[in-house]
Amino acid sequence: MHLTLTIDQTIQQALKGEASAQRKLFEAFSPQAFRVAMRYCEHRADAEDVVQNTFIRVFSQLKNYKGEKGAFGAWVHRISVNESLRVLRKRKPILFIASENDNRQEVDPEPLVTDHLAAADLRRLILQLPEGYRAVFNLHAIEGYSHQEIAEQLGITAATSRSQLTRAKRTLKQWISAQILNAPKTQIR
Amino acid sequence: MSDNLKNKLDQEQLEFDTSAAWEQLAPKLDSNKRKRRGFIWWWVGGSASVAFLVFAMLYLLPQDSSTEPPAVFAEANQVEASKIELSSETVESAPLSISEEKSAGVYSSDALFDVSSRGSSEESPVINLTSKVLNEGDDNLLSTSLNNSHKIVAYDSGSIQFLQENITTENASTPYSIFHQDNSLGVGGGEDSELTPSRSKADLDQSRSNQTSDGLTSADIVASSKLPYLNLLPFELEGSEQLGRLPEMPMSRIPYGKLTTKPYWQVGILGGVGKEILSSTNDNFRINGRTILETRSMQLDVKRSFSKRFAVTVHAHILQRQELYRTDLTELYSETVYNPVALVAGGERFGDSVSVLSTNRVRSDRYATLTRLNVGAVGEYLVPTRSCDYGVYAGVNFALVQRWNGSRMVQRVPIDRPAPEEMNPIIEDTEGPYSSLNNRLSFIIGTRVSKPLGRQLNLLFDGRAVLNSHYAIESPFDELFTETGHTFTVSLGLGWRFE
Repeated sequence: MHLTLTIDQTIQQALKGEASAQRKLFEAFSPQAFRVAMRYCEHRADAEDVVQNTFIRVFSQLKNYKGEKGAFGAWVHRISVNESLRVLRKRKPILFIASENDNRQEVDPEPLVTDHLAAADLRRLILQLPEGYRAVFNLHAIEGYSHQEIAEQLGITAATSRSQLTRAKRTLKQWISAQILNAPKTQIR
Repeated sequence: MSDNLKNKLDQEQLEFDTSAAWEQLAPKLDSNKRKRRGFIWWWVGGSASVAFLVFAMLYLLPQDSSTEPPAVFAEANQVEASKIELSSETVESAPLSISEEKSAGVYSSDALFDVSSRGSSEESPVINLTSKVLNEGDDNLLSTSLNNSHKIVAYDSGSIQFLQENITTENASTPYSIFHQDNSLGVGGGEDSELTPSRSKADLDQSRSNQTSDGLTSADIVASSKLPYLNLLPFELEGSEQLGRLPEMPMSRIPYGKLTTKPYWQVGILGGVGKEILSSTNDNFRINGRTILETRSMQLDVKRSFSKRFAVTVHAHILQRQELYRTDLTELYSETVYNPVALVAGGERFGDSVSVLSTNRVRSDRYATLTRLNVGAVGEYLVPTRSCDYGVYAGVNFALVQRWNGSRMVQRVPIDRPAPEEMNPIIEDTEGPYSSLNNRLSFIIGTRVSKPLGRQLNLLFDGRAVLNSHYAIESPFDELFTETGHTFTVSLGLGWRFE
């Protein structure tokens, strides 16, 4: 409660343009934004750009923030995801590997078993995915977006989103299996 | 699965320096501050550029050579005395015309001035002008004891007339002319003149003090002589054409500053002008006026940025320097002029014309172009802003080779009075050897502004100083010398940037 009030007070101060308040918010939420960005961007410099752009947008749109208490982190999270996708689109168009079977309901592979993987290894594997796979996988499997939301976000059909997700999972599963068999990372990369 | 994966990924401790990131973010938050900062950067950069250009124009770029003090000519050409030549001719007082014999224009032990020109004017008959530089010990002088006297002495050996003029001259070694009237008819001329006995110098001096000029001053004589001197022709410097206007280019579609966020390569080509300032020279010039006119440069460089802040550039740099070698000489010339105060004896006029020896200061210009090829490397500290990238750099410069091309232009240009006519100078092109260089290493400091014009094209402005360059040089005119100095250039160019 006390923390929430403090965040709200800080937001109010940040709305008045106080740099110290803006800095507090940045220090509190930028690691989270950076972590999100690092799932989408291969290069650290791009992720840092995402953080910068995220908070430029956060502070410029702060007057429009009418979230409930405790929702500020989610709002920043959502903006950082959008900024990550924007950076990916800006670098080069996201390539979605399509096939004639996109409209066919693909069999969802078994859930990924990632218990034995460290977080860094898992993130590294995700970053090895093709951009289309990676974007859809991140949005659906991690951020919890529906396929319809992903379709609107990425400008694709829900079916394409679904198929991209299925292939992403299948690819990851193969790589994780290979990881289990102690395959050299260079083969995975 | 969503929550599991998310929780697992959130466990990762990613190193993120929030303080450094905030330092980068803070300037971008306040739009007013951002605008002010850009405004300030523009003014700082612009003011520095303008200040440098003004400084360069005032102090570095070529000065008007006419303001140079007259040089003292070489000792071998020192005029020790002026001479009187007697040639009395009874001539009609009809219009005097002039012929100039320039072959004797400059006599010098200096091979530089062995060029002689011979020409004749259309106005030829009566007045003959010969120019000579007299050497020490010339026995033909009548009044060698008058050396260093700041006077023109008109001495009529036939005791017909004295002319005396006091003049002021800057050159004490060529102060006077002596007019000697000779009666060519043999009636009154020479020391055995029947009209007037020869007179001693003491007598002359006394008489001089009692008599005044009869209106024929040396200036009048010179002015009336209408000498066909050469004008100083404007010498066109090679390659002085202006940089062409840059074509219009599409403005950047990339947000400013983005180009510098990742390491990149950039190939740039720049051209510019500048000035070299010599701090010391060690030479054996036989001339005494050496002016460095202008310096032009062309540069090709390859830049590699390793971060937002640091880059290394290697460059090949062609530098061209123009120099003017100027020599002023005082030459003695003879002219025959109408004598309005001719002697009338026995109903006849004698001494209607007199030969006058007078001095004339002439100028010889030679131009030379030094071309030098440098290579080097600099480290650059970058200051990216939203509108431009600024950078300061320092590094080393290595001179590979240099060579002179020269144009020897000998012309007789009067210095003390306006040249009435123009004549083509003698121009001789020559080339120097590829000089051996020593102490080739020098140092570079400079600043550069890079303005994005598109996704990959950049407009570059560069100002640099090459400090403490030290070279041994053989000029095309056979001089050997060494020099130490600094080179300042400002350049404009284009760069192509890619990752």
